[in-house]
Amino acid sequence: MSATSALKALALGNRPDGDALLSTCRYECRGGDTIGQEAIWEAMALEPLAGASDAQAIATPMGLALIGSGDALFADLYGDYIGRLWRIGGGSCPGEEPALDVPFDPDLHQRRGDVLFRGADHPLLDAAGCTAAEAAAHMLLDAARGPGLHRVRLFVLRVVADAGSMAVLASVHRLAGGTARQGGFGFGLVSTGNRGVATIVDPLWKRAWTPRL
Amino acid sequence: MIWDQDPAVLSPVGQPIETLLEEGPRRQRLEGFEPVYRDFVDYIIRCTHRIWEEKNIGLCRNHYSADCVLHMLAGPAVGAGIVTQNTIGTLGAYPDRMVIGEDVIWSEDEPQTFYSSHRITSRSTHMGDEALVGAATLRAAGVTTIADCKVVGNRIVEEWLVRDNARALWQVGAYPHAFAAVAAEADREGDPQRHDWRRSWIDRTRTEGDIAVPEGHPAILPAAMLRTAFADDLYGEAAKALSPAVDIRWPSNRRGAGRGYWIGCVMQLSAMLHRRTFRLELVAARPLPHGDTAVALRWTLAGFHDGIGPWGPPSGRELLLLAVSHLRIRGGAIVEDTTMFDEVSALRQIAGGLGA
Repeated sequence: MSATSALKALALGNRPDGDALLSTCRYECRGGDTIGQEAIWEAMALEPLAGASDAQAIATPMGLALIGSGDALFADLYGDYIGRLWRIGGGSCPGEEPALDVPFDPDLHQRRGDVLFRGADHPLLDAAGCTAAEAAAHMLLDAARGPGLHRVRLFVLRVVADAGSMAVLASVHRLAGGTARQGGFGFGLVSTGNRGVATIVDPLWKRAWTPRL
Repeated sequence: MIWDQDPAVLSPVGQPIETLLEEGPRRQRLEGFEPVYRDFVDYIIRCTHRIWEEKNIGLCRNHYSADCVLHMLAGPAVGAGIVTQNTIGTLGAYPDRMVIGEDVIWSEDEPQTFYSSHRITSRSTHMGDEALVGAATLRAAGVTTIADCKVVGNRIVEEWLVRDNARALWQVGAYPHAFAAVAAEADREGDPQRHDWRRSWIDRTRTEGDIAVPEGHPAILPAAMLRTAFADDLYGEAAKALSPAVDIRWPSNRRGAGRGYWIGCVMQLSAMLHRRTFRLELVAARPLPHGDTAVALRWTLAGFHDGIGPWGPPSGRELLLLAVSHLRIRGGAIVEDTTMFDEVSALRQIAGGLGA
């Protein structure tokens, strides 16, 4: 079974035939993660991808995006094997856990940033591809911004592009405005091309700020 | 130390377990190893599978030397017998434990003396009672451990183990501070000399200096990054080794991205540990798929707990931290950082445990 077929089966909440999903595969969702086939099957069976039956697939030898309705999956590929999996927009991570928060400055400069992108992180992209990926990431940034937010930063993790389409996966950090600036990381994905532009961003993280064990 | 020797010996990254466990001819010279092991990566992956998943735990007796020392921040364990019994105990509480090998980064620093840095994330169900954690909860469990092993002739002769123990406690509904306090109280009873290892390790960290990293070795970049941050306090300069979008995973579910987030993780430690000394203990590197390079660094930090931070109010105690970082380098920059250390043992030291 190809990685695309396996990912589509997972998206529908089914177990893919064969061994396309590596036993080492890490599943990242809503700021949490889990590892292994059983945990991923469980997560996807509980909450299949919204719009899975008509999801758009964009693939390269290194990655595969499957874009549903307000819900997406992104996979790292090693040949026909899925080595890491992100859920964007929907789903939940089985057994959500406490986490230690880290005080940090995303910009290291008075000139505040927005999209953090390095072309060399994406070896299959040429210069034009890098320009297009950065432009797409800015569209995702616009979608992630909203009223009441003090700060949004995008860290571009992965890009896949085929002849007609591109998908960009980013880690999204948001800090709410107001007296107490609640915030945290989530994931976002933007796709451009044949089916137009689609942006998907995790809901703003709601758990309490925990800077101590 | 040639980091990319034996190109036929592949990283497990991107390979299914069925392929990793296929039997076949040797791919690397291994003197004194059982014939079933095809290369050093296979030795690490396969013996872990045989011991933990196939439950042939007695194999510890011919995979660890009788005087093997396991170095952990909770204190050392010595000998194959203790390793065997501890493994049985863990599987009694977590019988369905899968020990998923995410990577094995290794080196052969002298002929037939191998070092491995094995990053494992386990998956299991907490089905059995434990002495300190208490009654079985049936909760899902599984955290990342990095095991560094020195191996000669089919036997692990020394091991350094770091485990994300705070996350492990959270998963079964336990509390790191409470666990550390109980352990520290037990530490204060009995012969205090059994904790002398901690003082010795702090002294080594304070006095011995970094291991030399050969010119051209991929570890030069991340080793300099850690030293520039922890020793020189030049955090921004250090972080230039990272991609601006670097993906960070540190213990206790610290998950984030970017140079600033990495600085935040490092400064949590620096802010708490005053008059600190950083020491690099070991490095290894191996090629990864897609042209990437995996680097492992084992490092220690000694410092006085004089600042507030994630571990609570300052205790004034001199603390030791043992950590292992696994980094993925792509196009001249670090794109992923997985760093592990045992924060429960840090809390245990703060609570007055693990000796004077």
